Amino acid sequence: MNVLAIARRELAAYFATPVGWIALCAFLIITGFFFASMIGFYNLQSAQMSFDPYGTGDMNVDEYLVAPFFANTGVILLFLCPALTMRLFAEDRRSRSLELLLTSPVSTLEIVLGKYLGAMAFCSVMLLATGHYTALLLWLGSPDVGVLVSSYVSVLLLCGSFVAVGMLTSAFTESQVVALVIGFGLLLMFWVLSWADASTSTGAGEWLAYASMLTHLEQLAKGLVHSRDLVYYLSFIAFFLFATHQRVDAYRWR
Amino acid sequence: MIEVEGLTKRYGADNAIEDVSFSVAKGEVVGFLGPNGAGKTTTMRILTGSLGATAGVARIGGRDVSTHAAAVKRTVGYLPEVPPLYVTMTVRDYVAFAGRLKGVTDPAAVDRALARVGLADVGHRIIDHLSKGYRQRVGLAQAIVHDPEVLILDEPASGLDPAQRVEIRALLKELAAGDATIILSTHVLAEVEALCDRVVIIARGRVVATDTLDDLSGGRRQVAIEVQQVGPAMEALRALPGVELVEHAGEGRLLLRCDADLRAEVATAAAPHGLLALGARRGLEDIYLSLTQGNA
Repeated sequence: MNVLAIARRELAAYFATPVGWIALCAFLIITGFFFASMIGFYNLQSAQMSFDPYGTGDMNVDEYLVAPFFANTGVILLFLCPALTMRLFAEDRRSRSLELLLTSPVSTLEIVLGKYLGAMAFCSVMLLATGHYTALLLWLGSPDVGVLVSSYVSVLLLCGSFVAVGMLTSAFTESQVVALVIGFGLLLMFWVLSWADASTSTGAGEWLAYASMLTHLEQLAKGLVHSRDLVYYLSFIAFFLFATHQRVDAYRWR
Repeated sequence: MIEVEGLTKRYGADNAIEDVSFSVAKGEVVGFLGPNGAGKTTTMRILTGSLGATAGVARIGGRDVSTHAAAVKRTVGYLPEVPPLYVTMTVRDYVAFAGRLKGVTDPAAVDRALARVGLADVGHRIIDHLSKGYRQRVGLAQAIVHDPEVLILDEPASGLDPAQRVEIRALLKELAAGDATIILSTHVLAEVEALCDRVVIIARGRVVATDTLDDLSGGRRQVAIEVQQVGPAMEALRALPGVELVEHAGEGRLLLRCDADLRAEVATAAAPHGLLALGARRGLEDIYLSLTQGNA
């Protein structure tokens, strides 16, 4: 109950200030731009292919449109999520409103989960707002519904990981800007870890690649839901939520 | 109702509070006095569970605040020095939210809390648009929404203009008249004199006095007067039966210690020597200053 009350307040807070609306607008404009330019590119390619005697004819919508679209959405979220999560704890601490939560009969776990779910609810709203792109695709094309569903699941998991990291950095500082910068830095690091794969010797590189979000996103975006990718995202999220929990618990000892 | 034993909070090598002990009976209104940085807020934060103590025990309603945190928090209302407001919410939504966190789902309880602090008309307004006095009231509404048995208020009138101060004081008086147990920290001594049964004075992290106002100030047996002719007045007063001591405190002020309430006699004796003012009890201010500075 308390979790839902806190989550609802967090969600409402996004819409009570321009921040939420601006983030939503920016997200839709950028994804819209990507979607439109990809359609253009797809049309050009398929037109060229139809003249190509060696071409296989039809281009696969899933491979040429859906996958890159969701990959791009993931990159946009990488930039956007730290801005959405930076205030979760930092603002509450600076304005002292956190004291309301800390002196209410609410457990630390409820506070952390409530704030996390509130931020995730906002991200879900953003993702749902991309629904008209997929509706267009379904109407005019014939994408694989399974791929679309797994793409949404993967982007949501990715987003969940971003939010978990951002929330932890927000719990460490009273400054939203510091939370933003550190959160973004950490996310970027987890994003590009797989690049290290090529430059390290065996073993370490594999581990680094496993820790990278990119590696797992590629699989999911193809519509391949492997348990190892799900386990990766879920344990990633669980770890950062746990770390945030420990951090918030420590407020009582400072 | 509230028992505090040997409470200590250390930050590294510094002691924020050390060995603080006091107790508050049910229904009592206790003033928590002390200079800035004396440890008032630290003590209150430990009592309300937002801070852990290094050593010592604090019990509210017989339950340890560190081991029975949730149960204790349900019975305690807390208004921190800076009210913990979500300023983008409306007054009503905010108080309802605070109520839900404290287990109150009845919308009537929210209305009652708003009415009690005089916010019934501004429930729809966004907190950010309210004056400081009103925000303080919203903070109070948040503290009383779950009808707590214990109210802990950290400088509820700080930073308010005189009119707002009077309003908040009247409000506190109403709350004090109910059966809630109240701890009120402040450095406005007039507030303590107007509201509290008892004071706990804290300085440099230690309790330096805990007593009723009357006992602290010597009740009616201490009389302070102001006269124009100091010498003759002192002689006349010393001759008065029952007067144990007459001191000149400077600027025409005389302090007397009597063995009973002798205000009428003192007034008659001092009148021919240009009596300007007479007050029973040594001012709380004097006591406060002597206690808190003596420790420095």
